[in-house]
Amino acid sequence: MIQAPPAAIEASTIDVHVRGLTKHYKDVEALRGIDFDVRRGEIFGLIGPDGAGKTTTFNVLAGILEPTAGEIALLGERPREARANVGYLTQQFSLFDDLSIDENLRYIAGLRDVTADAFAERKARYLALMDLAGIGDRLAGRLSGGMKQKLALCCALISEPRVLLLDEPTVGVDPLSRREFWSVLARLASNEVTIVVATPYLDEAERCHRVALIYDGTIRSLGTPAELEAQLNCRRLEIRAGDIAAAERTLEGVREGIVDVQSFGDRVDVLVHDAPEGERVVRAALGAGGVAVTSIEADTPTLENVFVARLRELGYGVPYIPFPATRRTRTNDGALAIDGRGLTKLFGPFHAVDNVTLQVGYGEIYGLLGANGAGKTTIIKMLCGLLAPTSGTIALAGRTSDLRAASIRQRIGYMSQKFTLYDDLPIIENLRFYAGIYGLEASERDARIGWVLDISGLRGRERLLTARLPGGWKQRVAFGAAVMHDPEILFLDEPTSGVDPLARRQFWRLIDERARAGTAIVVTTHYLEEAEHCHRLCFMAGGSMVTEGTPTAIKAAQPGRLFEITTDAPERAAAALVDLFPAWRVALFGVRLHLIAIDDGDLDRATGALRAAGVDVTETRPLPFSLEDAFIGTIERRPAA
Amino acid sequence: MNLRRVWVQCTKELVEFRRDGLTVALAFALPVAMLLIFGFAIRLQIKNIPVAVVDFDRSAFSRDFISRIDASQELVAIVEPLDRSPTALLDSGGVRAAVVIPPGTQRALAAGRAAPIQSLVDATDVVNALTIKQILTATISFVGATYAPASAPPTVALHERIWFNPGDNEALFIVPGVYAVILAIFPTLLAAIVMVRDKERGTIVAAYASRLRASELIAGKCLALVGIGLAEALAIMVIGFAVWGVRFAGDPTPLLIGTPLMICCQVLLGLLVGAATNTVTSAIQAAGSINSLVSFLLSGFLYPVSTMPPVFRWFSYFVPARHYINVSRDAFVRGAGWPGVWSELLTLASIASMLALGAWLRMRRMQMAD
Repeated sequence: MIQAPPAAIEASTIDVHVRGLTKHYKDVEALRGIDFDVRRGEIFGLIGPDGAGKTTTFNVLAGILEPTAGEIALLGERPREARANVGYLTQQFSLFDDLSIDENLRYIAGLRDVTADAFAERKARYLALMDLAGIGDRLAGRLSGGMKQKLALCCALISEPRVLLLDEPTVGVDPLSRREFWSVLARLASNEVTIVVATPYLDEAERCHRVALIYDGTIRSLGTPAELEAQLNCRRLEIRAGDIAAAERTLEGVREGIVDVQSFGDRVDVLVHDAPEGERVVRAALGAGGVAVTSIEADTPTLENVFVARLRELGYGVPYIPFPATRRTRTNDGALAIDGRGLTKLFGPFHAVDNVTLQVGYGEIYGLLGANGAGKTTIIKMLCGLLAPTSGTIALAGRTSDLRAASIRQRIGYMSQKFTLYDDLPIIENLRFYAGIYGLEASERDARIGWVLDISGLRGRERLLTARLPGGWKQRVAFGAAVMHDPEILFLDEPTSGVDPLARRQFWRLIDERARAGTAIVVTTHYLEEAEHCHRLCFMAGGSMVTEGTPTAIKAAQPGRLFEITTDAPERAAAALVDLFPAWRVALFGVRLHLIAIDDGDLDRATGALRAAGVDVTETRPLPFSLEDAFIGTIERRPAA
Repeated sequence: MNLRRVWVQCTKELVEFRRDGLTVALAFALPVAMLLIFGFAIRLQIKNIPVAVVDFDRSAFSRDFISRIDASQELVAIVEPLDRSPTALLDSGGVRAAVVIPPGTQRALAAGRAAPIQSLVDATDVVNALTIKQILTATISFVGATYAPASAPPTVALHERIWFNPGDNEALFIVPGVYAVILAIFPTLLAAIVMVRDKERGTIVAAYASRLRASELIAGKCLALVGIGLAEALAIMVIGFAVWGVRFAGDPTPLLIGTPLMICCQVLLGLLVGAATNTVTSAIQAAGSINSLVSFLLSGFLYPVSTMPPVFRWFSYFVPARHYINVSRDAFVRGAGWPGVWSELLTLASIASMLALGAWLRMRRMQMAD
C-alpha cells in the first residue's frame, strides 16, 4: 500500500518524492527501500548494473506498478493520480509500429486529453525539435532505432508533462542522435520540466544534475556527478600505451598503490590516491612488464570510474570465465573467413547497402559502425546468408553458394539485434534448445551450458522464465547462446546494447578471447570506445562505407588537433561554439567540450567567444582523437545526402 | 466514461487493423473461405446410398418395395443375384445395407402373418446407419401395410426428418448456421489478438501511464471490433444470398438486433481472453480452442442441443452461438420473427453484460501484474 503523501510537501519545488520504496515480486526483492527527491527542472539520473531495480522504480513512479511499501509522491500526488502530468518513455520501444508518426502522436494525445489546437501546435513544435518534421505519415515500424526513440520522446512530451520518466531512452541510438537527444533534455529541464532518466551510458549520466547509483535494490551513492567523483577520493591516471591489453593485465597484478584499473578503448584508467606516487608505481610496473608508455596524465575520475570502482567494492563482479573450448585453435593461415565483394541491397528503390566490399580473416575482429539506418544489420544478414544480396558475391568460410546449408550454419554464430531466445521458456531450456540445434555432443553440452550460466551470473537461477530477465541479462544469455557451439565465424549485432559497463567489459574480453582462438568476428556497436577492440573497422553512412582501416589509422587520418575544454556551463558553451565553427568540429562529451582546431588561432577564438558568452573556462588541454571524435567528424563532414 | 477517449481508442484500433494484413485476413478472407467450404462441403443428409436387395420373393410386394426405395432421395436399391451372401455384399463396401426378402413374404403378409424380412446395416457410421435403418423400416411397414388385410392393425411409420427441408436445398439449413459459427470464431480471435498484442509489445503501458480507464479502453476496442464484425457479417450474408440464395424468410428485425449483440458477446469474450493471456500465441490458442469446441459442438450447428447430456445442455445456455443460431435460422429459414426469438436476444444481451463485467474486472487496475 502506498501511504498518503504528507499533507504539505515542505518545499514546493520537490516534484518527485520517494521514501522507503520497496517492491517484492514473488521470488525477488527488486527494491529494498530507496529514498530520493527530485527538484523541479532537475535532470536526475539512475545508474546501476542490469537488474538493479531501475525499471521497477520507473514503473512505480509512472503509477503502473503497485509498490509493496513506501511513500511516493509526484507533484504532491500519488503516482496514479499524477499520471496526467507525467510522461513515461519505457525501455522497450513503446510505439505502435503499424501507426504512422502522426497517428502515434494523435493516439497518445487523445489518451491524455490534449485539445485539438494544442495538439496541432505541439506536434509541429516537437517534430521540428526532433528533426522528424515532414515525414509524419511514415510508419513508426519503418523508422530507424534513433528516430524511434526521438518519436517516443515526442509522444512522452505531447501532453507537456511536468515530470518526464525516461528508462534507458538512448539504448540502441547512435552517438550523433544521442547527443541531439540530450541537448533536447537539457532544453526541457531549463523550461522547468523535471526529468528522471536511467542510462547505461555513463558519459551521458555526467550531464545529469544529480545521479543515484542503485545496486541490488538499494541506492548506494547519491549526489552530483562531481560529488560522486570527489567521494571516490582518488585521482585518475589516464595511461596511453602501445599495448592496452598488456598494460591492463600488468597493472592489475600490482597490489600496492593502485585502487582500481579500468580499460577504456585506447587508454587505461588507473585510480590512485596520490597522483605523483601513483604515476611512479605505474611507470615502474609497466617498465618491468615491458609495456611502452605513450603518456600518463592525471585528472579527476569520471563517473564511469566511480561506477566501476563502487560496484567492485560492493562485490558486484561479472566474472570472466574462459570458454570451455575443445576445438583446436585455428591458426591464421591467411585464408579469408568472409569475403564480400560489391554487396548491394535494394529494398524497392531504397539502397539499404550500396556497393560494399568487406573482407575478414580468421582471428580478426571487424567492426561495423554507423548511424541508425546506415545498413549495418543488412550487411550482416547478407553475410550470414539470411538475406540475398541484390548484387555482389559472398564467400563464407570458402563457400560461395548455398550459404544456408546445414554444414555451414554449424560453423557460424549469429546474435541478432532483436532478442531471439524464447521468452516463455526457462533459460536452461533455451540453452538446451540451442545446444540441440547446433548438435553439441552430450559431453560438451553440459560444460557449455554451464559456461553460459556462469558468464551470465545465472547459475542457480536457470529455471527462471526468460521473459523475466532484465534487458541486459537477456543480452548475456543471447551472447552465450550464439557462441556456445564455438563457431568459426561470429556475427554480433549490437551485442552490448543495454548492457551495464562491467558486463560490457566482460563481453569484450570474451570476444577478444574468441578472436585469439581463431574465430572471425563481425561486430556492430554504438559504443565507440568499445570499437577500439576491433582490429579493423569501417564507418558506414547511408548504405556506403565512408572510411575503413585500423582504429589507429582512422584516428590518425583526422584533420586538425583536438582540444578538450572544461567549462561551468557546457550547454551554453556548446551553443556559443556552434555559432563560430561548423557543427562537426564542436561536440559535447559528457560535460566537456571537444573542439577540433584546424588553424592555430582556433582555440583562442573559442575561449574568447566563451568568455564573451559569460561562460567560465576552467581548463583546456590537447587530447588525442578518440574513435568517437573520429566518427562524429567523419559522419558530420559528409555532404548532406 | 469519457466518450472522447473511447473514440480515440476506437480509431487507433481501426487504423492498426487496416495496416495489418493478418488481421484483415482474419476478419474477411478466412470467414469467406470458411463460409464457402462449409456451405458446399457439409451435408448432414444422406443421399443416394446404395442398398443391396436380394429378392427371393419376386412378388408385387418386393417390386413395390424396391421402387419405393429408389424413389426416396436417400437410398438407391441395387438388386443382387440370389446367390450373393448379404454379408459378403457389406464386406465388399459397395453397399451400406442389404435387405433379404425371403420367398413367400407377400403371401405371409396377405394372410396377416408375420413376414420376416432381414436387413443388415453397416453401422460403421452410426448416424447414417440409424437413418438408413429408419428409412428401411418405414418403407417396409408402409409397403407391407398395403398388402396386409384391412383387419390387421395399421402400422405407423415415423419418418423423422427436418420438416422444412425437402432434401433439395440443404444449404438453407447449413448456411445460416455457418453464419453463427463464423461470427463466433473470428471476432473473438481478432479481439483476443488486439487485446494481447498491446500487452505483448509493451505498448499497453502507454495506456496504463495515461488516465485512460479500463472501461474506456474496453469500450473503445469493443466499438472498433464490433464495427469490423458487422462488416464481416454483412459480407458473409451477401455472399450467402449470392451463392445459395439464402434470403430473409420473415421479419429481419430480430437479426438486425441480434447480430450486433452476438458480435458484442464474442468480441468481449476475445477481449477477456486477451486480458487473461500474455502472448499473441497463447491468446490465439485459447480463443481458437474455446471457439472451435464450443461453437461447433454446443451451438446446435451440427447436432441438436436437445440430444446432449444435461450438463452440456446446461452449459450451452452460456454459448452465444447457440442463441444466435436460432435467431439466424429463424430469420433466413423459419421466418417466424419475434415470438420465437425474443428470449434469445435477451439472453445474448445478458451474456454480453457478464462478459463486459469480466473483462472490466480483469483490466480495471490498468496496472502491470507483478
